[in-house]
Amino acid sequence: MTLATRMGIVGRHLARSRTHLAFAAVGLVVGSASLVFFLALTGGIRERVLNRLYPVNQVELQREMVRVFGLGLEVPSRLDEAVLSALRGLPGVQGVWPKQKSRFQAILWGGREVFGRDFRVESFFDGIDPVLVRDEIRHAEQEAYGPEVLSGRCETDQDCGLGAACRAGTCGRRTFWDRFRDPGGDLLCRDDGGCPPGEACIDGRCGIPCGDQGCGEGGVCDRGRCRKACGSDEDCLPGETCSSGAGGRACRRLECRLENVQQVFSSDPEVIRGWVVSSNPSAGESPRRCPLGTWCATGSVRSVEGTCEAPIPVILSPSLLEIYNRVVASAMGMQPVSGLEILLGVPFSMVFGESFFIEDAPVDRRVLRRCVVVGFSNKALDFGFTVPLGVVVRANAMMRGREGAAEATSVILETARNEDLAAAVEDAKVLGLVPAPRSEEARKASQVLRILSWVFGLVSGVMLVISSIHITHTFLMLLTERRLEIAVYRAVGARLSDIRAMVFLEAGLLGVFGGGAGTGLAWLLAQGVNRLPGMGGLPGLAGVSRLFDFSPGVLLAGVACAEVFALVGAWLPAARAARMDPAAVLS
Amino acid sequence: MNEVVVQVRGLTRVHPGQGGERPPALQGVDLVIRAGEGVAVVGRSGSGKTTLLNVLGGLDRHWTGEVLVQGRDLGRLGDEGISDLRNRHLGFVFQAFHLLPHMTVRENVLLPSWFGDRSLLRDGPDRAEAALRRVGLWDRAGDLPGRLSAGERQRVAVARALLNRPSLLLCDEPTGNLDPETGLVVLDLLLDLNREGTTLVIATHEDRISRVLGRTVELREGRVVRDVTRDPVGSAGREAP
Ligand SMILES: Nc1ncnc2c1ncn2[C@@H]1O[C@H](COP(=O)(O)OP(=O)(O)OP(=O)(O)O)[C@@H](O)[C@H]1O
Ligand SMILES: [Mg+2]
Repeated sequence: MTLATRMGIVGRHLARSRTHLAFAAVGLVVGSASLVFFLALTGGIRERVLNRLYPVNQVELQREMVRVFGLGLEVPSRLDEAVLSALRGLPGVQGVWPKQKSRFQAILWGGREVFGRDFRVESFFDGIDPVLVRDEIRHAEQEAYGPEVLSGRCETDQDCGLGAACRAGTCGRRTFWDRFRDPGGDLLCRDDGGCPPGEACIDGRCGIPCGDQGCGEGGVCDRGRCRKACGSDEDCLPGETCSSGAGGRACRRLECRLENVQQVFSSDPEVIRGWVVSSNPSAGESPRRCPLGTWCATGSVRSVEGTCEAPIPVILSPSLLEIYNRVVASAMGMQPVSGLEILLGVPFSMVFGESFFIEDAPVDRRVLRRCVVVGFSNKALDFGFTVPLGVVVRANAMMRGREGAAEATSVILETARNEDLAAAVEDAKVLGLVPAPRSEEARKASQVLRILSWVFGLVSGVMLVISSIHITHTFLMLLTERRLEIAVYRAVGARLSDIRAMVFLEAGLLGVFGGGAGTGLAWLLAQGVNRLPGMGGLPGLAGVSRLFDFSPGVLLAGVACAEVFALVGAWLPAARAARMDPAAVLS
Repeated sequence: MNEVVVQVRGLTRVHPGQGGERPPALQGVDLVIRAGEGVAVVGRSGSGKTTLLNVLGGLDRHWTGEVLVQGRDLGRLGDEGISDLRNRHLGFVFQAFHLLPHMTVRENVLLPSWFGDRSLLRDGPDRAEAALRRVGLWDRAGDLPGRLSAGERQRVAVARALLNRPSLLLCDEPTGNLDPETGLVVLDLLLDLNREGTTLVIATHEDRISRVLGRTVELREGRVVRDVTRDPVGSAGREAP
């Protein structure tokens, strides 16, 4: 018997018994619909909401607070390199990323392009390992600007226009991610105490001193400090140039100066690029400004000497926008902002050492730095902004010395498997570390979510079991109806395996139709829920366009479950059909 | 002598509830049927005729003894072997016709080809036409069985049994549900087939059938009590030992 004839006969059976079978399939449709709906919902919430706050295998730890008479005091343990390496040694831990907050007063101003007039506020920021926000930065940029690669031949960056860079003869956008991953910037110093841990003050600049083995792969030892080896300027960070030195060709930051001190606060993009200080003035080359996309960052607001630097890349928390729109905009008569995207690329300036609340640092210790918004993340500081960790470490070292840069304020711990996280958190308690409030909330929420998905899975499972029983019942009835038919099939040569296969095929088709219809129903339902008024405005859901996650796995699970339960339901009828005695029916 | 189509030795079939008071449906039946023979199996109601046919057709498998059909030992064949034997070599005609009411006449006749191998599937349509022409119902090929008379239905059933060109045609009271005249038409059809070489076994109550077939086997309480073979011309046969 060929599959085609088998299908033909089953098709006739289906057509003839369509009413009974349709009723039998209702359970499958409802069961698989509820399964898919809730899988997609809990999966979507986990993926699109919770995982943005905190991935299920990550937790943010901070030093334990001891409450004394209602005051929170930190337990006097330090979150330094020793504690970090202890955390790295915990079983199951695959990643440990320290975060550090700025430890000095600062103010910022800017935003005229978006808000209609400049903001001027106290500035708080922290630093995060760039890897933790890579996907979010890339995502935001692609949403806003499309694919990363531009076409077009070029020789220099100027040929490619604003925001683009010339790489190996073709224009490519120097992506926001590139900026955030590796912002660069040199730190001026007087002694080692003004440099971050692990760096030394060499020729007035902080840098990694050459070790006994030199500077490792891709590094060049240049007058006692390690630099990145390069072939051309393209291998170097913005504001650096590839030039020959003692150890070979290496990336060196360009020195620059401004014409006068007033220019430190200039808002003219041309003026702030200053003039590059030539390494051998006798060569008589024409004066040039810091490269496009960089500016001349001076050692203090009283100094005209500095280095060419790219603006500090900054990411914002989506909730900051909500606070602005709901509170700030109306109170101060400023324009509300419709979406996060328009903040991308917006520049602003900071002065380290100034404050609205506390005393300013001495004038020659105040430093101006320029920044640019490159992305958004729920991991960013809610009240402030977030920069790459290296930037905060350098800034803390500059303003507070080595001690101020040595200690992390919190640490993000990641385990290879979700199940290991709880144990790792317990182990960390011994080190005086507890989950940060936000992380703790996320953990509780994800636990609730897990329980909910189990409950919904169970409910759907019960529905499917009932539908399976219903299918058994229907098929037994249909087989009684078809007794003669089956007996005649047997008399003209049908094998028992043919009879059984036809029953399973019929149930299998029912399962596919039922599961398919249920999955489709769940999808339609989800579309309806997505359209409900107020869905977009749920707290924490800013930027979440679709709450449901209909991954191929979820769709497949819906159809597969319906299929399995349909086949299980056909088991008994198939056996019964095979056991039927054709002689008794025919004579 | 023609080749042996059916060889039965010591066949006993005990239905549930039989034994003790009630005799088994078949007990110790010996029987040899050769190709081309026309055999009438007669006997009172309950004597075991239907049971014998079901055993020969492999529909009933709960017996003891030895049964060979087309040289194949039914006791040793699995379901697959017996199903294939039915599909390729056997034809059934039942008292109640057993046409499938949802299929057209043509589809009913085609049915065996759906369960056979590819060659039978391929030849099915041609053979179905030939078989329906043979029973004179090709013009009704598109009708549902419900629209045919009883006699026509039984002729369609015969056409279905002919599709695989069976070497053994088993008919259980083929005229039992027909009035005498209509029965005669079906009987003539079966006799023609027998004359053309099809081995024919008919279980029947009717004397007129046993009279026109070449051999009569009489059962009583599950035993063969008479086995008479006549010359084709109709001369008297010999009694069984
Ligand atoms: N499925 C069954 N279960 C129990 N007993 C059965 C079954 N089928 C037949 N019998 C018994 O076996 C015996 C032989 O029955 P069988 O149907 O072979 O007789 P038959 O000669 O065909 O009779 P009829 O002429 O009435 O058709 C009877 O006594 C009958 O009651
Ligand atoms: Mg009978």
